[in-house]
Amino acid sequence: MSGNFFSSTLSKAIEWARAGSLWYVSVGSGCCGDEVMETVGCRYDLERFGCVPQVNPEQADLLIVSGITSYKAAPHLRALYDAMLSPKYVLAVGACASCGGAFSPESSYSVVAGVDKIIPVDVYVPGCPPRPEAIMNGLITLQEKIRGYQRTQTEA
Amino acid sequence: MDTNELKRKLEIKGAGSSLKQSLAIDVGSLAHTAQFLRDEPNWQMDDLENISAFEMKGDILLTYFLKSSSTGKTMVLRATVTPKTETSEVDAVSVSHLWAIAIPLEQEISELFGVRFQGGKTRPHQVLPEGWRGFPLRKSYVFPIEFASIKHQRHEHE
Repeated sequence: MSGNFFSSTLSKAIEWARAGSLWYVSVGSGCCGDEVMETVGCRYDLERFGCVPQVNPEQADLLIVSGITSYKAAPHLRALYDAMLSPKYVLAVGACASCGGAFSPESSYSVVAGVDKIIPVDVYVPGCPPRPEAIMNGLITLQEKIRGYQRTQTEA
Repeated sequence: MDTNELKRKLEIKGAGSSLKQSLAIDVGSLAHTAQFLRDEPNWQMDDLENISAFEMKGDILLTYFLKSSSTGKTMVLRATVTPKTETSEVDAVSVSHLWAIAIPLEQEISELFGVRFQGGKTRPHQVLPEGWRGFPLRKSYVFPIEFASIKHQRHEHE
């Protein structure tokens, strides 16, 4: 078959399956890592949403970054992201992963001002640290983004 | 009033027996003094608890916390080194041949403060990433605009 090929129905089925089986690797370099572990644990049970922890980045779809990233760790985080197979997504958990938080850029020489300086981020979860409900909300937002849904915006 | 008399008076005033001996010495005699304190039978300072450093008014103050595991005595040595300029390195004497625990402590001070420990085993860039320039814990240190093509500021306009 030559030329471009596009099947919208099949794509929707693939996206549906992809959003429902987000296998992840987690990089916990700060206290937000504890909240991620709590989210994975029995009380909140992230596996309900099809999220299964992985140790091999080649088998993972999602990279959860929680905590600060230093300049020394930056190339290793980039290498981890590069080792993942496409399509791949990144969830930045907490203020430090999102923008450097309390440590950067004004107050620390060594902390990167957000992991989006190194790798593309799909969803940011604010908080210092965010509660497990917020992390789950970030994950559901990512799933909806993969499925192509648009959330209803609530008026403030 | 000599030091011992001052110590006795302070103990009476309520400082108790928690007072520790502290010596401010010249950095050139640091290695000899440290070796004497380690080998002297009455002191036997066989344990180096910590080395700390901080910058004050252009000087870098190195503080050595010693302890004897046999006698329980503790002592503090303090030596001052002065860099020629705000950004230049400065020399001090290593004590890693006396206490092996000094190797990582001197390594950290070497990278963060720019103190070269002569006779030590410090290597370039164990704490900081490769290619790092400057000594981050100096007062004169200016944060990098970017490092390894990563902008330090959050936004371009900052």
